[in-house]
Amino acid sequence: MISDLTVVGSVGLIALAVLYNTGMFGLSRRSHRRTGEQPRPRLYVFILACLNEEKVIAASLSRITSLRGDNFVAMVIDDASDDGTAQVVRDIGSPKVALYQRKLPNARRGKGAALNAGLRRLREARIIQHYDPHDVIICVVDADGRLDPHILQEVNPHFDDPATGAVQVGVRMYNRKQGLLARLQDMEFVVYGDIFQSARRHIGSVGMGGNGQFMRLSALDSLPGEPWSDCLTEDLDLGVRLLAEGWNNVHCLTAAVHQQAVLSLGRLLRQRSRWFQGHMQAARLAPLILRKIAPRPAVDLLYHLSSPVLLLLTSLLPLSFLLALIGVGVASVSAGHLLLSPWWLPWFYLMTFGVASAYTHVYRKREPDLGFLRCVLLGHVYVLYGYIWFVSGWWAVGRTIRGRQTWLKTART
Amino acid sequence: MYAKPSIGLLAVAGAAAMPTATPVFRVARILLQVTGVGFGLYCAGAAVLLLAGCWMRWRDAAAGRRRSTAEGL
Repeated sequence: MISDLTVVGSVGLIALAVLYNTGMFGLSRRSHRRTGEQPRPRLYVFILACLNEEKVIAASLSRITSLRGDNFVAMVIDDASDDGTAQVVRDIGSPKVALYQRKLPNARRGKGAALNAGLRRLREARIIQHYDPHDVIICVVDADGRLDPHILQEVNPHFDDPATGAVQVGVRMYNRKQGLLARLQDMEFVVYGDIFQSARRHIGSVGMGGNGQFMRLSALDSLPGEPWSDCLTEDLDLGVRLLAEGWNNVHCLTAAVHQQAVLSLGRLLRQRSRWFQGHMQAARLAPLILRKIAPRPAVDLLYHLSSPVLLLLTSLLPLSFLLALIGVGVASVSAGHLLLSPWWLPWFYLMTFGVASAYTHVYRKREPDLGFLRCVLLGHVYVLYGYIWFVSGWWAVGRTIRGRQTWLKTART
Repeated sequence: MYAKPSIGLLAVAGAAAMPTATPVFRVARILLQVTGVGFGLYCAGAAVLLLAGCWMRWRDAAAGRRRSTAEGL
């Protein structure tokens, strides 16, 4: 009896995941009405925290300086790079680009610390003094981030609503044509943005990502303490804290920042382990969510924060499946005939790859040139690709148990 | 990063469909049971969180009421 109940528990876990994912897909298909007042003149400040980014920073700054409009500047925070990052920035020689160099021993204390230092420096800048903090928008871009040319025109109307504290744009991989792994990462970010983030606009729990996050200076000022924490996923942390202060976070579906996909499996696992560990660290936000965020977004955020636990639990299921399959094979050989009805096959297929149709539908809307069959195939591979989280999740658990909390950043190529 | 239901359903379907209790099958079932127990604990934790949240909000609201009463005096 107890043994059966525990198996029912497994079914419950799967049912929860199916219900949540299906519900989010349904919600994401609903349109979202934008409210707002008259547009006001705003200043956009792009902040790029860089540590040894000489390979990619010039291309990113070139994209920023060629954006339409003249109401923006960029600040590069050089976090004591060993390479030529600072020189590359100086060589650009644009009046729209400022360089702020941090020195050791204060530098190299993580991305959050660099961003906080940059923001402190920015507050002293003369250009900021001409604007109300409500009309100064800080945008965090990774050093490899390439912004869509129309990004300011797409993001700006969201800030016409005075309650909007932050806007997250979509994230794409600019090297998505360089192999299957890059393509799958692109699909992963599209699925996350177009399904989960899009659905969260209706729930009120939109999260911030590390790249392409736009925030009002007044919203950052309203946070207790420094905006960016020392958490490995300081973006997740910031998004929740903004919601807790009563701001709305918005996800912008019509513009994106393009970043570099990781091209080797080892590096990808390492990157995801870092994110997973950061996600686990973010559990400390639970009391804040419970106390200060409205019930509906709070439930979603708590589910999101607890997803590492669910992922680790579900990681045992593929093993169970494999063993069950081996068991059937061995028993069938002993019995001399197949012990599993062939009718199970379509059921297995539907349960495993049925979800691929939703992902294919969403991704094909973004990549219409990819071709239907290729998209369908990609959707199937994507389902299997999702299992990299199991490996990276247990890796992160191992690091946490050993008390290792810091990571080297993902190297650019 | 969200729980992936697909292989999970497969596993349960596979384990449920297993015709004989071979040792391999028993291990597969144990893995399912560990997952089930883990999910039970997760649900218990969620229930505790729900109660803690209600209590925190009630306490904060009560403190707010006391403050506004004191300011009114």
